[in-house]
Amino acid sequence: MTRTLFRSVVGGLLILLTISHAKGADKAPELLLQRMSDAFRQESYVISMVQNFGGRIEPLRLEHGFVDGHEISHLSYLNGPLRDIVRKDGTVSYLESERPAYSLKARQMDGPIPKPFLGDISAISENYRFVMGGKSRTAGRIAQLVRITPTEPDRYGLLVWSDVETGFLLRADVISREGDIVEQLQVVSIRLMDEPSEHLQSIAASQLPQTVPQPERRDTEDLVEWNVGWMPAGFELVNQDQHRLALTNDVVDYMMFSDGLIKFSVYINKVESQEERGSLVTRGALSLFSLINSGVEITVVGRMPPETAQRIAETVYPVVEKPRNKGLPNAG
Amino acid sequence: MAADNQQRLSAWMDNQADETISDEMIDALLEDEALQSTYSRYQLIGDAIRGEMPPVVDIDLTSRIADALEQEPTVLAPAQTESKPAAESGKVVSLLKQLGQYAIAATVAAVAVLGVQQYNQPGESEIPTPVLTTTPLTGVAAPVSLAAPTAEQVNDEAVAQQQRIMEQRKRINAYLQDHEQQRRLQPVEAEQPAVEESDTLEGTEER
Repeated sequence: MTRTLFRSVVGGLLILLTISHAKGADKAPELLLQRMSDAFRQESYVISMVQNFGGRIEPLRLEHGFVDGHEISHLSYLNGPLRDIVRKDGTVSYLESERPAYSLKARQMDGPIPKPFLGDISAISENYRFVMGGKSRTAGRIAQLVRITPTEPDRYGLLVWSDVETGFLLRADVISREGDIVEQLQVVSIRLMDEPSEHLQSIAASQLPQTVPQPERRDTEDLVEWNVGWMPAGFELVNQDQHRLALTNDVVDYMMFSDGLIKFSVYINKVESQEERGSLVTRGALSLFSLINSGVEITVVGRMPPETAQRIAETVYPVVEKPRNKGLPNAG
Repeated sequence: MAADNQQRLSAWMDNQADETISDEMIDALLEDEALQSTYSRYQLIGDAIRGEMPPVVDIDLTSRIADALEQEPTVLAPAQTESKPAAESGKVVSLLKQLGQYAIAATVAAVAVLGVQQYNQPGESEIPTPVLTTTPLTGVAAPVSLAAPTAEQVNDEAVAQQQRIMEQRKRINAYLQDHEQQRRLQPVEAEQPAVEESDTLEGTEER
């Protein structure tokens, strides 16, 4: 009697141990990624890296540090026209030769490093699984691989190499479901600093361009409603409005969806052309699919496989019966 | 035809030409003074866009370089070492001070982009290449101007097609640009709902 009791207790303990151990193993990649974002936010460093997509190479330099308690970072695109992104605490300034410089209130810059890696990685844990991979030499350092795979197919996965010593991101590959590399970010060198460089100090002292006020949200009830019939599970509507495209001045109905890691845009635009056609453009992981159907052009843009963008675009439809109960009481 | 050559030149300069530049093209460039001045003008525009303008703008750079080369070839070397610290200091601070120049550069850039786009079109092959290649060989303006209108007439449809493709490219660029813009705008909006839950950053895209 006592023996069986003993056995079951020991057995239960063993099971508990294995479960907690397994849980610990599950947490490991997430902790590693959390460590990465801590490193990006807390250290002072200069990182040189190369982005590789669609046969193009984009060298970049990221500098980060603290001057008098202010967090300063500067991302510079080293090839082609001048493009710089500067962040001073909660203000991000975009300095590009193609348009006038402007600043926005934002916590992170919209750069080559996926934002969850600079912020909170748990934001994406709902829609992506983290699996520990092997160790290998990357950028002259020992790196630990973490696979980030979407829980639902129809979108790209990520392979992320993290520096074992410092925790920094050393390499990130965007991979298709077939395992092909779609886009790549490779760190070339990391230099940690004790003191902020002169360059960062001069940025801290300089005046950034004026902050652009957020465009006011228009009352979405005034808009024609559009529905997206299908999209990969896990995406949520994060923004919806009507605005003008800067280049063509067309007014478009707009929706943005996010799954925590990637975002895609849906544009609905009235066009004169009646001819039905579809067009597809890809640039690295970014896909744009556009189709014209009975005078309406529907465009989907996002870092997703082209088939997914096409499938989303093909299922966009207008909500025919629109409730107009809001306008009536006002009129009467 | 001249406009076509200019586009070709522009694309070539930006390393964006689809086809490698032919020997005939180089010969044409060497013989054609108008094209040469266009070339140097393009280079000047490029320098201006990249913010690499010398303190004193010397339009007739080629003759000066030729003179310098004749006198002393090593003159070029000190000039290069001098420009190095300038390149390093060309960071944000100077950027911030030069913001006003961006607007001017932007208009030029827009023109350049259009030119390249037109050149890069697949419809390029519709323009009869024999006319192009014979231009430098004959070296006379008359046959070219004679050939040009007929080519246009024949290719009226091709031109319309080209315009359609251009229009589409412009729209695609508009969408790509706007998507990027919307992504940048997003975090602020995402911050409001995020406050209640936790400090989570609303997920964002990689680039």
